[in-house]
Amino acid sequence: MISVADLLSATPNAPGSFYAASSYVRSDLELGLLENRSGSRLLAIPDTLIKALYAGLEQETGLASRLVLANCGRWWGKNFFQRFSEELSQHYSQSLSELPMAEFVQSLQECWISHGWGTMDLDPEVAEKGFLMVKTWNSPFAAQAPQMNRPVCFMDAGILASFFSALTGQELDCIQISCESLGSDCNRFVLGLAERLAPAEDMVESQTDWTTIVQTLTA
Amino acid sequence: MYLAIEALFSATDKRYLTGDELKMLGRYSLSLPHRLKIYRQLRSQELSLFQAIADEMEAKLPEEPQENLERSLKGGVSALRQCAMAMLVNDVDLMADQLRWLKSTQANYDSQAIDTLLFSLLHRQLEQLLAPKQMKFFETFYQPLQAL
Repeated sequence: MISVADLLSATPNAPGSFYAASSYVRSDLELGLLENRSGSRLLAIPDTLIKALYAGLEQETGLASRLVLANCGRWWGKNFFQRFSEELSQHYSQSLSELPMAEFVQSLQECWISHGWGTMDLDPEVAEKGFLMVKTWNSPFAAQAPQMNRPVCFMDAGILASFFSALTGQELDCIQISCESLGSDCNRFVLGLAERLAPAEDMVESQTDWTTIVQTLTA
Repeated sequence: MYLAIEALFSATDKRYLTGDELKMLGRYSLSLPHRLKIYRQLRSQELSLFQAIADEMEAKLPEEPQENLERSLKGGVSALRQCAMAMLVNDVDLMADQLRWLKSTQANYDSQAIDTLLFSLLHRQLEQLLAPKQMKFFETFYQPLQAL
């Protein structure tokens, strides 16, 4: 027999999302501060700054700007994972590894939304072949990127590589194979071991469509 | 309303509130005792309300694993708390995040049938707990859950 009193005392914070934007993001209009519900500072980045980052890095470093953005993303993702892990473990009174997969994915999706990075989903299609595919929509980094003939979410790719490397305990690489900036329905990122992802690099540069890249990787 | 009132407070150093803004604030202030009363009733009766639902769910779904029933119950508790807060601050938009979470949980665990039963039982419990006038008032905030 279910005892609701026991159920709620055992998991007082279990239901609902910790990252629900309505309660996660807090602002102080007078002080001009943004904080999350744990009291950590949040930073709002205007579109103009994202545009300027792309333009400034392109001018200063040329082609290396992709690498700089990806490395920034990696650094960001490392800290992001640490915070995500701490916040969620505290909220659920469970370590991240003990959390059911569904709750983990739902929380990550909500977290993505609350941080203004658009929406995201994990695609299990290539999981059996040892890859992970992440899809994102409405990425601000794709929306503000300069037009190139290749996917441009270098920062997102760095964040995802770092985040899932920390989660799995394995050094993973991430490559973007479709991009909203090129008219695709969503941004697709494939994560896997660097040597297994290597063939995708040239295909992305030669503007191969994402389905062919996936078929080649998983063949 | 929650955001509307916050916006009013942020404008205070620039101007006095307009007549319409004062009317809106007045109407909300007058409705607060009513809102607080419903909120207190929901808060104090939460356990008995959901225990009755849990008992009936177990009776109606004897084959369903307890884990699934408990997951739905926890979602229901959370949803009602959020509804109560949305009613208190008069902001139905506060339900949006909770609804998205519930839909996602339903998809992940294929639990729509259990949730449908839970929310129909919850509706019946609320009808017993709240006076008809209170129920009608609360339904604005509670209705999105029934549509899940």
